[in-house]
Amino acid sequence: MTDDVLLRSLARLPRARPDEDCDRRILRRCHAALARRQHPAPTERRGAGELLPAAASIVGLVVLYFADVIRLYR
Amino acid sequence: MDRETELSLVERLRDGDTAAFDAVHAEFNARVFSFLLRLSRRRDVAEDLLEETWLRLVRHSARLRADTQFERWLFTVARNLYVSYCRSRFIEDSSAADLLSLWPCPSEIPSPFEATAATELERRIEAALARLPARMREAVILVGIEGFQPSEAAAICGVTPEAMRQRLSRARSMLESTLDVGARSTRPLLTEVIP
Repeated sequence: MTDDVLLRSLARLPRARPDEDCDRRILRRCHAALARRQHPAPTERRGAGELLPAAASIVGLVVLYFADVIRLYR
Repeated sequence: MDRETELSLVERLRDGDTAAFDAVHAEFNARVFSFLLRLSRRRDVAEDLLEETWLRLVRHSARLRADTQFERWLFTVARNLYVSYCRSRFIEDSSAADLLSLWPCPSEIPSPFEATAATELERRIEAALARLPARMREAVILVGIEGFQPSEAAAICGVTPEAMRQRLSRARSMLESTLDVGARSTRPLLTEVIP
């Protein structure tokens, strides 16, 4: 074994490749992740129409509570 | 990949350009996989870690620094993922502990590269490389095979340049004795490849 042979052999040790299924899976998952970054899924937002009844209920309860309190102290 | 092209790809990847990702993947995929395969000596582990490395790049793509060097970034992440893998397997598999151990211990797991070596010399080198303790093996792979400077390899492995030089020196000695090449003919050669 000469120095030149060992030097060239170490520097030229082959590189392996993952199998094609692995490559395809990686690309698919990464592309999907990039697409999600570009177009994030809209978060569910409750419209004002859905919030109003709930808000009205809360306000009503608060009014009734303070009405009771006022009646007690009269 | 020239630096100008790389900087352009960084900018495009930060904007989420899929074609930029494909270009980076095409450039570095085989190198990162080979690095992981020589470290882990298991194809299934190397493929899983490779996938996670690329997913990390995608997840961090928006926060990449404008002067990012993909080569160093990818090898650092790949190496860190391998260390995490070793930590998670420490209790289950003592052979995965050599990267974490204080004392270097020869490895008994052969490399997949041995079976596919084209020549007897290549097979002997791969066998000698596979039997190095993990810390020395990663040093030789990064500097001797992947062409990093010792200071760059030190940054990738999270050690000081002096510690990396010591690992390379010990690795050189172990390779010499394993390959059974005369000291006079091998030392200057390996010193040239592994400073």
